[in-house]
Amino acid sequence: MSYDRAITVFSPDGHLIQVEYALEAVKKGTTAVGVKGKDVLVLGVEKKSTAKLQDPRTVRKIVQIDDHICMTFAGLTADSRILINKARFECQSYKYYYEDPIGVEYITRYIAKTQQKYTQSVGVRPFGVSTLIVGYDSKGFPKLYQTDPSGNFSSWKASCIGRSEKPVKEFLEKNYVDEMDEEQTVRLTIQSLVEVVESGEKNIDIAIMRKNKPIEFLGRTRIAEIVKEFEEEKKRKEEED
Amino acid sequence: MDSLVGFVGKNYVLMAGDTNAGRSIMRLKDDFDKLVQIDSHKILAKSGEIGDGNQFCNLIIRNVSLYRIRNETELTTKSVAHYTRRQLATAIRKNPYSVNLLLGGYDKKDQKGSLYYLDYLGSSKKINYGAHGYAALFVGSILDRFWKEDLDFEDGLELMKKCLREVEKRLIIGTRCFLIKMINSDGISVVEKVMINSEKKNEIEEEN
Repeated sequence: MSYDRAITVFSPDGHLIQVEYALEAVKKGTTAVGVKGKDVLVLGVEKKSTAKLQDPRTVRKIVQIDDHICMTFAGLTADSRILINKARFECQSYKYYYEDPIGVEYITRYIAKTQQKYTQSVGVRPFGVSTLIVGYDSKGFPKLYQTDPSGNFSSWKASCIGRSEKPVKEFLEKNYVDEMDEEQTVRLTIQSLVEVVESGEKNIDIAIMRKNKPIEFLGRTRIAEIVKEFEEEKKRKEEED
Repeated sequence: MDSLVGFVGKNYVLMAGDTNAGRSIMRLKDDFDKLVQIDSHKILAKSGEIGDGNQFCNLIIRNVSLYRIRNETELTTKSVAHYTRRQLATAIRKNPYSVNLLLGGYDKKDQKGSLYYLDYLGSSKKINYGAHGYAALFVGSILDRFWKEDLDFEDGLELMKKCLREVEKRLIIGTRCFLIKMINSDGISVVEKVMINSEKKNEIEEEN
């Protein structure tokens, strides 16, 4: 019996060890946060600190999949490139056949299906990537989806992937409220990242997805303003205590 | 038979197509838009087999979109023309698309409009003015005579109407209704939907 037929095989206690190792790879990646507001979606990413001689603009973690869908990821960047490429192609292919823009859940399903395929195929390893996909569904509601290397996917109000997943998720669970407006959603996203990102706001990227509008990347100055406001508030609270 | 006319003016491209869609002797549709939007600043005017035109234009639109999403930049008119030609050329000896096309586009980088003539055999040429279909026989000489470089929009529209009037007058198959679109730095806009009725003189009355 050759054990090199497939790379992902079951362990005696029913686990897919390779998939779990892939999840470990995700946990090593830089943090990505997604928050759903009443009629807005915000993605925040921790940017990996670039080397001195490296051009920081070439490291982009929030990408557009179609005109109305964006995604970000945590884990192996090179693996994510493949998924992003496949997703982009699928979006155009869908429009080619159905003339309608693709649905957020549809593309999430597709990405998740792709990730699952690679856990049950010969000679390949799973993708070491978890993704956060944002967009508006056909009824106009904002939707946030998460996929992981096992091929699972689910819809979230707010989620986090990557190395600071635990503390950020706890923060979000404590502070998330339904039906937030744009300002509140952006602030919550930035706040959740600022706690865990080393070297502060210079390494945070925020993207806002509004209905029927192209994605907007928040400017550096605006992020710095909001972070400053947090720090001042923090100081005030400490002084009161 | 489809009529397509196009020419380049001062920072714009003017394109017109008749709005007939027919099969054999029957007119199926008289508001058929043959000037298909490829992206924000490009139009592909299609003529020939209707099904092939739909499929082929759809293919081009989707691939141009994919390029835009992947590379976060739009293709130039020249690139789209070459890509389109390549698709037609590889198809001609396998499963030919019976479509003749005029590709008009405005490139923000050069701040100029350009027009390309493509046909179903896979030929492509950058042109200043041109036409497809029977219209080409009538309109060619008019454009040869009156087209000048850097025509103003008003003069251009007048020239276009002159061409379309000639098509209506001389083409035995009734093609009265035309749709004129313009591409400039602001994008694509419908200029006019023209109904042309050439004057009919009652000669018997005059003789009396």
